[in-house]
Amino acid sequence: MPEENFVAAPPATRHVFAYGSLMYPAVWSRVVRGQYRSQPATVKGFRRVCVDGHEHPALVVAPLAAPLTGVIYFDVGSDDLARLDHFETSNYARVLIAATVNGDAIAAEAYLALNVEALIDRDWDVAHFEQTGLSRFLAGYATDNAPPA
Amino acid sequence: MMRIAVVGAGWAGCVAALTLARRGHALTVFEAARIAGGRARRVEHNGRTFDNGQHLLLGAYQRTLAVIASLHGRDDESALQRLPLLLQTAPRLRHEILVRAPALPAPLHLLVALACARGLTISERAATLRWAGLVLRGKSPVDESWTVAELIAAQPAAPRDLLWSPLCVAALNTPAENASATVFVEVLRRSFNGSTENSSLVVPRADLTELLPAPALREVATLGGELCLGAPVESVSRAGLAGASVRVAGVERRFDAAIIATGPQHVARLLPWDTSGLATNLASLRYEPISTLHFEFAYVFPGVDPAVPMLMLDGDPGQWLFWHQLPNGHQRASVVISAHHREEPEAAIAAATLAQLQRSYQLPAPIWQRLITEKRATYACTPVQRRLLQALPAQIGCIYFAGDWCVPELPATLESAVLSGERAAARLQGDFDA
Repeated sequence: MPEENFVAAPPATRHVFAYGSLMYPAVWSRVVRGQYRSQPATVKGFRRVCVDGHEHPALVVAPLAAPLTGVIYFDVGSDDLARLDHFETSNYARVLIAATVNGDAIAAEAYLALNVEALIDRDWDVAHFEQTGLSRFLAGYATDNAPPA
Repeated sequence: MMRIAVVGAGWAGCVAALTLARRGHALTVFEAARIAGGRARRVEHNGRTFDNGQHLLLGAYQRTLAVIASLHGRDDESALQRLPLLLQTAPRLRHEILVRAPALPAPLHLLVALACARGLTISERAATLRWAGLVLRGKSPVDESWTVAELIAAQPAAPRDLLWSPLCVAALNTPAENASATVFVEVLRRSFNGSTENSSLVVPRADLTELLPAPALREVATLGGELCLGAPVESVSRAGLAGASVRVAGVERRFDAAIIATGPQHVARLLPWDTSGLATNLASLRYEPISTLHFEFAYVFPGVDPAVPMLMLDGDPGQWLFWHQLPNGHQRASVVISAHHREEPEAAIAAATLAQLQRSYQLPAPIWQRLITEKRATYACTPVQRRLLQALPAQIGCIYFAGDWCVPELPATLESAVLSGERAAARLQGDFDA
């Protein structure tokens, strides 16, 4: 009997729902190596809140919150998932979520906040991030947390 | 179409949600952990992924295998590997046992396997064959109050201690002295009567979460369901005459029905208002733990046969050993210590288990090790607890229950979890249709 019968199946690709800094190509392309198709998507049952002392937001469970809009990257490879896990640090966990793309339901994975103490009870301001936060984020956090080559 | 909440994304909850989503209902699945699977799940630790415990599937797990096939496609070879029944001890143990089932129709395959078993004398094999034949044909009456130890008391010491007792612990996670004989006989009949395939060993190739829970939830999502992982539910209550309310993150959400698919120990906390006695009875349940020790070796001396996925150990302290070949060329040994009530520190258990492996294999020092103990791995499958579980209601109004504890005719296994999820879904659908 061949030995490889007992080797685990290779990990499959996953769709990734980005709701914060990773929605922006400047941040996304700094973290991953592959080229991925992307589309706007919405999720229900979650809030995107501010993180104390940081430009980026965090996703938390909020049963009655209005749907929030982000970006889905399709079929992200396992190497890039590992890079994303490293970028998101252990303060976030990648969990299965249900999203909607152009009216179609789809399963994806999103980084949920684990470190709830650092969160502020205030919705993240997308426009404010685009105007001032993104450049500061690219210079600071995104550089510090860039995955190893 | 009903709006249905499922509380708990273990195997039972995922199967209930999948079954109902396929019937066109609007599902919302809540799970406290961030990884689905409950007591049979993937664990991630410092860049390594492994299962919290070793779950060997049997060919007799017909509902589990059917659901896995429906998720992974008819060609589920990429998810599962089927092997003929093989019980073999690790090398160089004091008592060696080898029971290998040939490709013959059931139950002939078992009879030939026992007749040719290595490690038993001719008279022991004859006594084992006679007993197995009587039990499988239902000619040997089994009292509901009997323990497995009472059932096998008349067997010679070797098959009793080296074959039936380890199989009892493996199947029921309860020592033979306490385990329910009725449930053990049911497991033997399901495995060895019917088709030869029922007793085949089914080895998962994917991790336990990717085997069933995660693909089930992905399908629920594509069918329009909502997934809330990392969301501990605070309570579930009845809402009016027809409805259920789920409290999560301080907010009440209203549904037409709810399925509670958590471990029994969480049910009382979720139903603080319940006066039916269900919560009180479940709170009195006793559990058996399972410890699993994972060792990773950068290389392994010859002696490990990759064609044998599972080996019996002598119980000092491990009972079963699983070898895994990792994609990076490393080998991982996972040792199962069922019904493990010891209180020694982790380092002492690890040292004793490594010493046990070294009695069978020449091993280098492990480059990594990890002990996972599920303190409430299963409820203790005793005659008394089986009766208690049989008397519990399957639902309270439009709150339904699922979980391995809801199928007391079987031990707490993946199959009983899957079966309970399908039964809860069918009951809910039946009430909806009515």
